[in-house]
Amino acid sequence: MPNYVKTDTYYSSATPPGHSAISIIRMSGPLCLKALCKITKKARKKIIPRNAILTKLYSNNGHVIDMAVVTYYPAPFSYTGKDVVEISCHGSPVIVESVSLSLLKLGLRLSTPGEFTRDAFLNGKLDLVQAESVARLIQSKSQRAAEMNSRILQGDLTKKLFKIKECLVDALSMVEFELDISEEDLFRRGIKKHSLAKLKIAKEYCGSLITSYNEGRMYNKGLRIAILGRPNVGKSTLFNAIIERDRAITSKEPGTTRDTIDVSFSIGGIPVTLVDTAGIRESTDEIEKTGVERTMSEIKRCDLIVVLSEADTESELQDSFSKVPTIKAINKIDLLEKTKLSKLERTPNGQLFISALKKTGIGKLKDEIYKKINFSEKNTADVFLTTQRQFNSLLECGENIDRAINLLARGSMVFDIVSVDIKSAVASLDILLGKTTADDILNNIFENFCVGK
Amino acid sequence: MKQSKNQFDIVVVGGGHAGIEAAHIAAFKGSHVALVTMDPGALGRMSCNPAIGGLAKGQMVREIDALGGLMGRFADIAGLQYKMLNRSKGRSVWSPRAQIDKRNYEALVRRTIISIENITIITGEVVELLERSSRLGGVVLRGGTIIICGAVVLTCGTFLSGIVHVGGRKIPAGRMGEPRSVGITEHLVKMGFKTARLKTGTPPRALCSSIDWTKTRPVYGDIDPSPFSFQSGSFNPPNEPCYTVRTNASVHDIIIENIDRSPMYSGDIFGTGPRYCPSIEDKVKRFYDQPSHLLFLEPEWKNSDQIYINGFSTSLPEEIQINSLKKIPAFKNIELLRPGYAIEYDFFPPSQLKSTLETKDMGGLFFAGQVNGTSGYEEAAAQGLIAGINAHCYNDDTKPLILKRKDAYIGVLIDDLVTKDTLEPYRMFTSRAEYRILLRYSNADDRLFSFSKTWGLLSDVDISTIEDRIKMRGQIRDSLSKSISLSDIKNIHIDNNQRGPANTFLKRPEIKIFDLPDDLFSFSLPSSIPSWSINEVFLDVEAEIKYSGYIKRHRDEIEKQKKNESLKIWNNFEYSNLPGLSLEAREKLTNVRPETLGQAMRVSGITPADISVLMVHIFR
Repeated sequence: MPNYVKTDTYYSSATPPGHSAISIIRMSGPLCLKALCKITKKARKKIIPRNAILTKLYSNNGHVIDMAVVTYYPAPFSYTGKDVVEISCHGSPVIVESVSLSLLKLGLRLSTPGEFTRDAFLNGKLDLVQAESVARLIQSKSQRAAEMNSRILQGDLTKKLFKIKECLVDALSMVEFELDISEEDLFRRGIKKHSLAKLKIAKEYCGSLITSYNEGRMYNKGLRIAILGRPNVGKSTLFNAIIERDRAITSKEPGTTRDTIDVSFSIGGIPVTLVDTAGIRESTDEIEKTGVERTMSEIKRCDLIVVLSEADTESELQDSFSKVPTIKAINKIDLLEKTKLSKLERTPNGQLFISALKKTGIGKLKDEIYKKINFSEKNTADVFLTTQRQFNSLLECGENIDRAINLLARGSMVFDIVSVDIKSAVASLDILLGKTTADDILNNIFENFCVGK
Repeated sequence: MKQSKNQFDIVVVGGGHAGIEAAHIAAFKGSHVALVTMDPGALGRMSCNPAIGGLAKGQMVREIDALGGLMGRFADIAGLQYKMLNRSKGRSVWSPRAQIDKRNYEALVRRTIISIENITIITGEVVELLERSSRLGGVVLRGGTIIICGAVVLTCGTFLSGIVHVGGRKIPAGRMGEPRSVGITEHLVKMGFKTARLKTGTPPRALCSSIDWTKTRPVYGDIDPSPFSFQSGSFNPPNEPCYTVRTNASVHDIIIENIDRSPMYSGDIFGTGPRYCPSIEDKVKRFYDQPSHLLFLEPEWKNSDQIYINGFSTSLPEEIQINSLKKIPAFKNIELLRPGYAIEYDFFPPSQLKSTLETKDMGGLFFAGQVNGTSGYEEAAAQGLIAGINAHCYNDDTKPLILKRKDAYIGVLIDDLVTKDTLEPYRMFTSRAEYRILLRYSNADDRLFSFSKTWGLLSDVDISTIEDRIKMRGQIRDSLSKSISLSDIKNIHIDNNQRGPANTFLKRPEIKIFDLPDDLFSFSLPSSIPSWSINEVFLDVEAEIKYSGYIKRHRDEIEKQKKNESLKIWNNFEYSNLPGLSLEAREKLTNVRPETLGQAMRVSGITPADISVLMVHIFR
């Protein structure tokens, strides 16, 4: 039996575990106010809604746990639409634990993942698209990603979806009119033309959202880029050049970097995880061998590889990872004679020429990275799809619109099935917006939240 | 069983299209029926247009026939012209329609009903219902006569406290020229039923000789028409022309100028949706960019001097009607025998009914027809049929017949009535049926045969006619699974010798079933099957194959909904106690009292959130 709205009261820590200045514990449900009164030993009338109240918190046997600030949000004007209470206590895990225990004893239970936001959706506070974006906003790893998710939360994507729906419904009414009314009385010209026009607009909107998915996904998921090359070719230096920080250890001795180090930064707003790897060479050294093994499995997980080599040396590493987009770069051009360099630059063979040490050619390298991942900094989409679910629904919608457009060209003989395709397209959008929600969809979405959201 | 003069199994109140179907089918199944009517001479009367069928309605007449009803059979005998509408559109929206000779039709109805032994026609007016511990006991007529019965089917049409409106004039009547009925509404309200008022319009009747027929356009019916009834043998009906004219800007101007003198003009009550309102006032106002509207001139009967102006329903004052009509060249000297009028009457919001058409609060009481807020003879007949069957089952204590939205337009009709709030007269459209592709006029026999057999609605002769047709359908389908070569297909010049099952090739838009090689269909058919029927079934199987992708989509959807349709909610479920239900949901659900979760999902204003709450509480 799927999880639907439970009518009991649940709580959770809304802040990540660990030590910090403040921890927030949030609860939602009918028992909130009662629990609050018990834990603060305050009478109901003293709890003024939406006021931050400084108060002591007591455990079940009367000991003071902490001094905290509590706020009570009565339904329906709260995050979940039910009564909500937020307790801001000192950020000690011990205190949080004590508060939790007290709440448990008062009859509350720990929330399930995403339950707060799920209730917000079920109570009509957020539509499904907005609800999805909450998790993503929290997990945003870059400014751009945060901006994008925030816009979705504000309803921008929903608005765009409604626009598509409007076009579809207009086209549908024209087709239905032709089927249900025109024969007996009214004769309207140009129904085929007008409904086709509406469908084409819908298709355009749909298509632009579908192509935005790639970018949208990148903003949320981020990219993994690995730098590969023989020992001492300058990978770590390049690494540091791109991120402008000395995170990796560099030395003149080949085989220095023994391990892979993940560092997160962003290019053009996309969160990128740059993976530094051990120099690949045959080695009897056990530690080095493990590092090399780890490198090979790392490669498989990447979205892009930069293969670094020096002029005049062979790079034998290409073939093993033909599936992953690869950029080949020649490093240490500062050590080459000018004539040698010019000769090489005349026949680049798809290679870039850089100097990590002197920071030459780094800009071009970044541009090439953008190209390989199909990204444009000057993107025109203002709204993005960010989840596989959204992408699938819009793809289905687009397919139905395409079918309808092709059929319409055949004339009124097929209007009855054109109608079925348009209705299916509308249904795909409705599912996206949560207007007609299949049980499992709800579960799927909210399971990916963390507890406490 | 009939024990005394005034004791019957079922009393049917009213002898209109709903009443006669109810009485007939219940009598056929063995009930003793009293048909109480204020005027036995008016049985089966058509209140306005002399036509049966039309868009979506033709499909319903076919379904009524498949379930043992009368309408289709009468229409096949009394028709002046037969036409298949929407022929240039997909087969799933083809709708048969017939122009009817009213006199013949009504005579047929009278003769048939009188000749049925199980039906007793009683002249009278029902003013009260007798209760017996929240079940029905009988009815009381004006004057005091009591009739005892087990079940009552109310089919009072537009007669309850009816008022006729013509311009400013108000005339108490049930139909123009016929007295109305007053009394039973008040009694039903006292019993706890909700009632409201509705208005529908009728077109004017003109004197034939006052029309300049040279300025009209004749429209003939189909040369090879299809009848309504599956039981009709070879079909060679008359093909009398019907004539049309078009309105024009001058006509529209006069109407618009005087629109506030129309009591039926609804203004903006119904919002901006593309609702089809029947009056000419509404049409002209709503479709203001339409330069002209089509009007059909329909004679009441063959060579009658009374012509209905179909398409011009109105309640504008008589002189406005005449002045605007005179702007049409053919009507320069028109004389009206009867102006168009609006009839205002009591109806009972059908959300008070179960999907069997029995009221939720009074066992044995059924409502059918215009009294439920529908408009149209076909809608009324369909309801009457179902109510009659179920009134019999009620007395018999056997399972009632409930058609679902996937089974028939009749299913869509009843589900819409009991689930949605009717604010304006409900008329069937094909777009109301989400599974329209499955509900074709030409497969009604196939779709509904198991119901007809299970509920005993057809005579043995009728059953064997349908069985022959279904068998033929199966033979055609089997033939199509045989393998043929592309080059054998007629009319398509393909040198390709590619072979494959015929039904796969038939999926191609350019290939038609009659292009397939003749020897493919090598089975023999009983000589009793008429040629129109053979043709029809061939074309329907072809449609089945060409639509197959879409048919599968619908079937998958139906399968998904099955679970929801089977989860039952009991009648007295208390929605106000359910935490988490929105106020609007609480109100709507309490009003409609849906019988299944599936129906609850169709109530307007119910959100997925509300459904989640229901699922948790009811089905935990």
